[in-house]
Amino acid sequence: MGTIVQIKNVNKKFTIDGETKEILNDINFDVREGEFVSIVGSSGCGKSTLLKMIAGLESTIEGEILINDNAVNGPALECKMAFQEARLLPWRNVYKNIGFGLDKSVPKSERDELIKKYINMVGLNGFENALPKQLSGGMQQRVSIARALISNPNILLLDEPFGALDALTRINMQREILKIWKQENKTMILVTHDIEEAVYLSNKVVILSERPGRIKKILNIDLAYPKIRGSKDFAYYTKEIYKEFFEDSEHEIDYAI
Amino acid sequence: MLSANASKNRILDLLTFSFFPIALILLWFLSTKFGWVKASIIPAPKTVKESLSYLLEKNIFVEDALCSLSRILKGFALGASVGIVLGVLVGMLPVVDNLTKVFIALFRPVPIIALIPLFILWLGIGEESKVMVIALGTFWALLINTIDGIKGVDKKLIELGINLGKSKKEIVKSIVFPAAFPSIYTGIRIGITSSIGFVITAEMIAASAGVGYRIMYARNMAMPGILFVGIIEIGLFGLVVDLLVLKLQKYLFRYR
Repeated sequence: MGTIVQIKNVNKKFTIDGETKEILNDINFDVREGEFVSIVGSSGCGKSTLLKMIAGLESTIEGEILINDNAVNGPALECKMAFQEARLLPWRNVYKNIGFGLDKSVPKSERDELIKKYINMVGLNGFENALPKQLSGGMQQRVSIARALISNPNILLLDEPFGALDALTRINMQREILKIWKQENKTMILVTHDIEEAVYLSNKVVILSERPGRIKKILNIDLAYPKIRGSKDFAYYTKEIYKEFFEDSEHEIDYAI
Repeated sequence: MLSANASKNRILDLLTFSFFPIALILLWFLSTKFGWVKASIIPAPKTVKESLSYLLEKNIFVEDALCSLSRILKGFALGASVGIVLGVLVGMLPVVDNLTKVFIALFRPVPIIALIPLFILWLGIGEESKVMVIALGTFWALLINTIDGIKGVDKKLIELGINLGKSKKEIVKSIVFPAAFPSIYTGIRIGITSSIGFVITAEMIAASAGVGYRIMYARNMAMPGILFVGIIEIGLFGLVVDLLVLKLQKYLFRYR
């Protein structure tokens, strides 16, 4: 498996009200083809920004991001994104929202078949005509994921798409995304603050510090799929990641007292 | 029990809803019948009915209504199309936004009624000046609401369009316009309702036909019956238009 995404010396600054804030600092890591990589960090550490940079949705960056050895310079069509909020078009039904993911060059005859295939894949049969407002949060995310996948991108970027779901739905969605990952052989990059989710889903976890986000550690998860959440090995990896966050905060609490 | 309560509520709703119209009509009948008010101030329902029959017989009623209606439609079509086109340009192009900012800030607060004499001076007392008044009123409503609608489109949806590899044209067509449409529709609603007011005002100042002209004529001729026909006609027309526009709104935006 070759390297599909390379992130080299990437920095990011935002200017808000004339004040320059450093968001990301010296980020370096690679993603191999077919790999499931999670980026974990507390809120505001710039992990979503990093994902948008990979997708070519951020205007200015320092450093370099390469996809298949080509520098990202504007929207990267190899990457499709499932956003934190499902971002469905409220005036379109499920069928048409998923169809929106297809390029207009796809002929009509193929469209219908593709849309049906992906409706099937995310388990929304029978909901073709439902409007977004009639769907639960989990179902909306399924539509969003189907819409991202239908154009058959090499890379699926997941920006905390399960963050707003209840625990049971979240576990279900995690299983589904793994199923799709295996079936479709995609490279997936997930941003999350849910440590268990990161261990459960990924081959590799990139741990970011608080703002400005720096890489604290890159952890390879050497567990066979399907991973068993209650197992000792699983617990070992979650603990490894917890340590990276809570050693720091314990110090902070000491100071506060 | 529940359904009994529900039907009870519906009856109560109907009673409270129709209380004022019924009371008003009753009061009208009684006050004119027993001479509580002078007939020259408030004509009896019978007088109004006779005036209506007279206007219908002479075909004046329909002619006036069509005349005012055609002015509304012409003015509305002109004002709305210019307002929407300019609104889209202002909403999407910062250059046009900047170019028009002072113009909008300066002229928008001017009441349209204050411009009627100017329009008459420029365009004469023919159709053009009245159509212009309505067009201008509609123009502002559509311009402001279109700008708001376009500028208010969720940036996250546009980002989605970019991520999906959509062209600028596709983003405008599939995201910006549908997302801005409810706001544009609000403009249409305000525009069409206020058009009724504008056409009557314009006709009262200078015209030789139309509902506004007829009301002014009735006042000059001291014919309160005809005057009342005009007022009730405007009220009913406004009511029907508003109902239709609301019905259409419910249908168009049923996804919300």
